Amino acid sequence: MKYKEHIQGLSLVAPCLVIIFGFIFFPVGYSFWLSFTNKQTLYPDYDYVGFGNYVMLSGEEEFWMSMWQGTIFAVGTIFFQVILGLAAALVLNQAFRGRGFVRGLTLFPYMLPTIVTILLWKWLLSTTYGPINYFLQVIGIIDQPVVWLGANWIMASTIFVGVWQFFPFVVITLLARLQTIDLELYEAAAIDGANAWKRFFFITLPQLRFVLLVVILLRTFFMFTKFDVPWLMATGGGLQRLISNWPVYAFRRTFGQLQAGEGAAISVLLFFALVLMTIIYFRIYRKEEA
Amino acid sequence: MAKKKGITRRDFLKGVAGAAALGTGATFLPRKAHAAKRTLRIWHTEASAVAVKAVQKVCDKFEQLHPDVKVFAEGLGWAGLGTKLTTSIAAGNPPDITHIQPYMYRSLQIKGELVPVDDVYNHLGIDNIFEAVRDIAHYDGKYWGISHEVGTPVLLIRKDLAEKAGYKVPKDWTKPMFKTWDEEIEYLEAVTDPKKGQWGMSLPGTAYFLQEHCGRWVASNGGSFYDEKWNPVFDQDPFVGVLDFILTLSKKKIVPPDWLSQSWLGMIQEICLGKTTLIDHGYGRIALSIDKYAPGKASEDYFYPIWRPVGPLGEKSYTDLDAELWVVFSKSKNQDLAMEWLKLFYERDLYLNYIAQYPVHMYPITKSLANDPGYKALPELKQWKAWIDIQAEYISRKQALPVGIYAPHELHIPFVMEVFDSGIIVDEIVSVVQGRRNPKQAGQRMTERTKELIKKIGYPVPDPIKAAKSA
Amino acid sequence: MKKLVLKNISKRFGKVVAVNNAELEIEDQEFIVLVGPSGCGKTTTLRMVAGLETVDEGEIYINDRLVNHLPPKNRDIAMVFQNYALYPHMNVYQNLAFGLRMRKIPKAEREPKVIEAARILGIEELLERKPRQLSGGQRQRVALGRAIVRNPEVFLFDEPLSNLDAKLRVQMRTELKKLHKRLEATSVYVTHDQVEAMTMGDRIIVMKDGTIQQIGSPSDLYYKPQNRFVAGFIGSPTMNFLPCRILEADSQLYIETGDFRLPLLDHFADKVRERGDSKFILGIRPEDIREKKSVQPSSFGGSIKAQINVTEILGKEVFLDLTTGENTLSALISAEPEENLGQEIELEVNLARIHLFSADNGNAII
Repeated sequence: MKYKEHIQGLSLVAPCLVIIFGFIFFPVGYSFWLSFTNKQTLYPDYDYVGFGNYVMLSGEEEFWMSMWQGTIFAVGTIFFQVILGLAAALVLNQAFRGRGFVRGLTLFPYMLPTIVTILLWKWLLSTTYGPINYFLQVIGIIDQPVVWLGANWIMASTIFVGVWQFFPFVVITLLARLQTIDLELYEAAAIDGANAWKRFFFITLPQLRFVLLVVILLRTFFMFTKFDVPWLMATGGGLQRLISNWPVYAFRRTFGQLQAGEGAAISVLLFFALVLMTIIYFRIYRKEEA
Repeated sequence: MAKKKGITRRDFLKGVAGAAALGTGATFLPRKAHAAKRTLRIWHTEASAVAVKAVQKVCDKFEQLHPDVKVFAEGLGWAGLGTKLTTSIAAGNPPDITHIQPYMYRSLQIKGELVPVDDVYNHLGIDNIFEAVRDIAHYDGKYWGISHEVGTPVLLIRKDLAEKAGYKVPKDWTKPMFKTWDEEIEYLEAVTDPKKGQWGMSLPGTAYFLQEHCGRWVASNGGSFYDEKWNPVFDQDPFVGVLDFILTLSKKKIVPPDWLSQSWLGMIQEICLGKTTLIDHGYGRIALSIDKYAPGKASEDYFYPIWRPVGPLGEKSYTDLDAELWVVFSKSKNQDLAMEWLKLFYERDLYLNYIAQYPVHMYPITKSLANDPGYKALPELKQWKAWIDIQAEYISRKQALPVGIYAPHELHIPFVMEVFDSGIIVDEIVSVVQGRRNPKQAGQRMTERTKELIKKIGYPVPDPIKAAKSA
Repeated sequence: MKKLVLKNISKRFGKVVAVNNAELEIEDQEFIVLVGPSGCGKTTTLRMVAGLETVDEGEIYINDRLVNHLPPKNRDIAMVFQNYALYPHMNVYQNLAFGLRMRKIPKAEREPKVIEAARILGIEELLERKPRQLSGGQRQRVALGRAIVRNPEVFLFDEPLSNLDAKLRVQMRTELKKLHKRLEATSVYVTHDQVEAMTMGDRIIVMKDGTIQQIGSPSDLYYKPQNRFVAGFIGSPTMNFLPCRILEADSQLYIETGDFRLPLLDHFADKVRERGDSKFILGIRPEDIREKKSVQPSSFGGSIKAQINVTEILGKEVFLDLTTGENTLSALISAEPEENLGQEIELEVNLARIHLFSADNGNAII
């Protein structure tokens, strides 16, 4: 009887286990293993090279550039996403005519496929025929078109597009939380002598704190591992070097130069960096909570 | 160092795919599973609607002739093909037939990914195929791929704009409008007017196209990417001269300032809209879509090809030989069908139909079709005569080199693909444009990085697979 | 000096008139209760005083100062909310100190005030706790503490006891009253519970549909309701209302309900005669009915024969649900009747305490 139950239980969780092991643990473990080999993408044979890939990467300019640029891209997009998302959520939490429509509109960028987003913004930001430069010139803010998609501005533009595309995620999450805050708290605070800014600072922000923590953590994972935006912004070439983050660099190593071992090493480093960030993050959070 | 045989990603993915098939087979397999049709998967680089239709026509005919076969054809762009293909090969799941660029074939061939298509050559008659394309994939006595067409990108000028600026565009395109890069730059400076939003020349920032520009320029400057001993020579004068040329174009602001992020299509739009007067990558196919961006200007009065200038170290100017190869993968279980499909592709009516979609861009590879009255009657051949003739001239003078290959010996170098797709060349071009390194330093760094990559791939050891087998 | 004055205050939400032309003057140290059914405008009135709602028409004065356009924080008021509105992320001390902190009172001055407020309310032990760690009653005290710590001109209470259980409510009622005595603070207290209103208010304002029905002391409202609504709203069990006519026989006026007849006392008769009307609503409080066999001499009289439907013993008194002809009647009598359910009982009425209302507009006549 007992045996039968075991079989039954096991057969119920088996599909899940297969998926977890087959699609999560195995690829992660396999990447770890690959990172210690000189595996080339199209050859089945490889040698164990120990920390060779890591040592080699650590001495390489392109690697450090990607590390640095990946960090700038992630931190920049997360920072502005949260600021913009918070501001938009606060506005959308107010009652005004057409709020439902504006709420829907705010979500729009998040629902566009990345490729559409990128093509749209590359057109808008173009120096030669982009409406943004045209508009800025017409209203007299600039004399000469700004080269948004040139070497100097490409990182800023990429961060901008990343923020534009993903801030609705922050809006949805924060708005959901904002709607559950008891309005009496604001009234009590108003009577207690808090002005609008202080009400935001002493009521709204502390109430959003936990959700913000989760949102920032999630965005950290998403933005550090973001591939499509930096990849497509440079059309897979040209300025790629200037907005290459960790995943893009790993991709170039694995599928451009066909060095799967090195690509895996970069992925593993990203993996550990994210684990480390998460640990530090929770440390800080717990400390504050205590 | 003993080679270890571990589980490869390819094996792994096969296993996963198998498991998935088991799970989903019930829904996806046709009812009569035992009489399952054989399927043929084809990728090609002609992604436009007409091209997709023309290929589909071949597929339809093929299915008629082979009722037990289902053919899936998919049109991909050029720029994304390399990585997409690599990914699919790495996953052990390449199509049966695909287009590849000439620079890719040796890298794939040496890894055992390709099978020869001699059968198709013999069917067409080897002498019937123009020499220029016949030799592209000829290695070790076998043909590893066959071009679907042949053409070259032209140096295309907006005749009207140049004349407005007081320059004469020679009607006889064998007489160069500029003999040297310096003369070209002089012209570009004269026609550039950023206030009006007009630039002398447009360049693409896409890695693939940018490297093609570099390649034909380095050839026109008396050099190439590798020497005869397969050593990269980006640090030598011809290539450094190319970097200098790019830096000058960029510094003098005679190319649009955001050119590094420009796509090929964006570049075409720029010349059609008159934002730029010159492009060095004028595929003939543009001729047929000019009306879309520049209505009423689809004629050689506006868009005219000119002979390319040479670099300071060069004697002759070069262009690319645009002649993607059909290849058949060794992993294909339908190699027999693949060969039959390719033979059908070149059948007179179907091939003419295929070529007829962009006759300005695509020459037939067979002499028989080239001399066919049906082909000669295509109206575009008259309408865009200069554009077509200049291509033929470059090809017949052997001044057109297969894409990614900038000296004949490079056709046999087995790591050209890895270097071409590595991003190393473009990385350093950007660092030059940015002012981080001067052309000489960038050339040296490009060479060093390439050497490092080549070493990892296993060279100068001639053939790692053979080496592994003998060990 | 009047502490709080409302002059012809009106407030509309769209087409709905929430408060209609309300007039009110509140003396210093007075405990005023606003009472009425839900939607009567009592909370809206309170919120206008607090500055949480704008005033459409009329003027509000606190200490003779027009406050219509002052934000809440400048009105020198404190408010206790129905759901307490404690700041969940702050501990009790921080909750109490928040108002002082916002007013930039130095830390050194804050602390004794907070401690004093906590002491008054007996929550000194809880200062370190977060609101979620407190019971309902404790939260209530913290909410009160947050109000008193600032020593404001006017306290506003918005149904502060409605979330407590019945026993705690009674207890807190008394405590609040004591607190008011001790602090001598002017208070406006909103409730829908007439018992709370009667037990706590120095004066009570009864509202209905945005209009003030009557302002008066608890006994005024009880004994001299100005209309049928107030009469019915105040008092428990509810007053009996019976349609009636006035008859005259032998120069004596009678109230005729159809089922029974009551003589009208002489000093009421003149008021009824003035009306020249004959249709009225008779109001009798259940406690003004007793058994006929009672022998004590009094102003009781008349005779009502009624059938007993239900008997409820409340302790000292007995509640009867009765039927007389077509009408039902409630009565509160001092001892359990001998008659059983379904049997007839004879009752009499305290004729000095009967009420007569106009059948047209419900206004009180006697």
